[in-house]
Amino acid sequence: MTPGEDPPVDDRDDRALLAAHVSGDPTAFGVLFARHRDRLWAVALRTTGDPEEAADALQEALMAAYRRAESYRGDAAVTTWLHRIVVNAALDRLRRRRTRATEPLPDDLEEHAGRGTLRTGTADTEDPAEAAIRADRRREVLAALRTLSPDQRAALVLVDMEGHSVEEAAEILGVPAGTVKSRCSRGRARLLPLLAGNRDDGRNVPSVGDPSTGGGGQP
Amino acid sequence: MTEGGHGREPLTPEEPLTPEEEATVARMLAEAGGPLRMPDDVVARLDGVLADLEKERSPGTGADVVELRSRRRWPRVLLAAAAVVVGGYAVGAVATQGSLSGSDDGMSAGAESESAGAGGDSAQEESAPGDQSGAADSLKERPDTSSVPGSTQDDSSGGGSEGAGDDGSITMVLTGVRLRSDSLDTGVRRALRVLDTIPRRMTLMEDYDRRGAPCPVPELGRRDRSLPVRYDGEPAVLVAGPERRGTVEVTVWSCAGDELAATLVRP
Repeated sequence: MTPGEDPPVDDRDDRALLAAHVSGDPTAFGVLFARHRDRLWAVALRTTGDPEEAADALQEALMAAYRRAESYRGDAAVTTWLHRIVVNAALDRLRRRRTRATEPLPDDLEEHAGRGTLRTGTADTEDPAEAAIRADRRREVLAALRTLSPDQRAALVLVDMEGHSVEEAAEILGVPAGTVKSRCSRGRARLLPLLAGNRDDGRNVPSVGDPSTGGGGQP
Repeated sequence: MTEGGHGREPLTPEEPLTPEEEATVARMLAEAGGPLRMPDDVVARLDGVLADLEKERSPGTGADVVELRSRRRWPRVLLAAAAVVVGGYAVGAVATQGSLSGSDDGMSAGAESESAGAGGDSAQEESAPGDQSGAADSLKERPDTSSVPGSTQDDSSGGGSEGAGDDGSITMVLTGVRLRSDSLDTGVRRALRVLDTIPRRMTLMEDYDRRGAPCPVPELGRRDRSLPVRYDGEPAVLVAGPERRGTVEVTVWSCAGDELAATLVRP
């Protein structure tokens, strides 16, 4: 498929496409992957925090899914299966990177992400100044996210950023729902002090245990 | 590394947030999220991978390795500058040279070992029993790229890839990739798979000299990737060009500046 094109239209559902691929249909897997590629890219990019790592993880996942499609047993949705493979590949890369010498991560994730089109509903009408402020906030949030452990980061990316339910995230991550809840909760607790001041209403997020606020932030 | 830096798990649980605080952070994350379109270059890259996978699955797609051209020889005048580095490699303690810029990756010998050895395992840890995750399996299928810390002194194990020492300097980590002239295609494929396990930025020719190059090689393309190997037992460097139409041009250079092999490979 040519870059920039929308995914090809195919009436078959995900399971049918995967089954067709296993049966030898040469185009089915491409259609399936194209159908989900943007969401998979978003998860990989936000989990790794690095466009190049994300692309590598996606390539690794694509090859694995293509070659191991026959092992899909249908217990989970195909999209969940695909997400699991991508997240695992991304987490593997993150863990490998964590074992290396400390290194700063790219500051330009948003810039790289911007190579793709941000499809927000307000993109056409938003004031440029406001857009810049929002971009700054996004950058700060993403930078804070990168300080978390890979497991916490993946859980928050899936649940808070990509909108998966805790149960879906648990299936993708292959852990109990309670573990996902715990990782999200602990991750948010670590993020809160880092995001202080990054509020769109001008009020700072109160630090945990800050006696001046009683620790009760306003949503 | 600080407690809050680079995601180390805290030793003690954080104080729980109030529901309002949790909601605030969740909302900020949601605002930073939202849909993204995969960049065109990534789409093109993955389309190429898909095309290759399909060719791989279809029988009778032709030869996978094609001899490109006869051997070349790199002008020796260009080799002198790297003589010190070559000497360092020859004694087996792979060269250590300057530091990478802040955004570059570092990789210790131990890390490289964990990278290759634990990749699949870590994926498995996250997977339920009977998990169909192919990513883990794909990592397991990789050739052994591990190197035991300290084994960088053992020149007998083969070529290497770059890593960062504790002081941030760049060292070479042996990967054990050996090429043989009588089974070049197999070795080259293995080497390419090893290359894929190394962060791309650490293999680019544009930084080759800064990484403690084991052998001088011509800079055929700044975006080409390099991997120290052994070719018929001798230290050499494999240089892989960008993938074009499903194929990668690979050249192997001896540390004396001879082009030992040139092939066109479908990875």
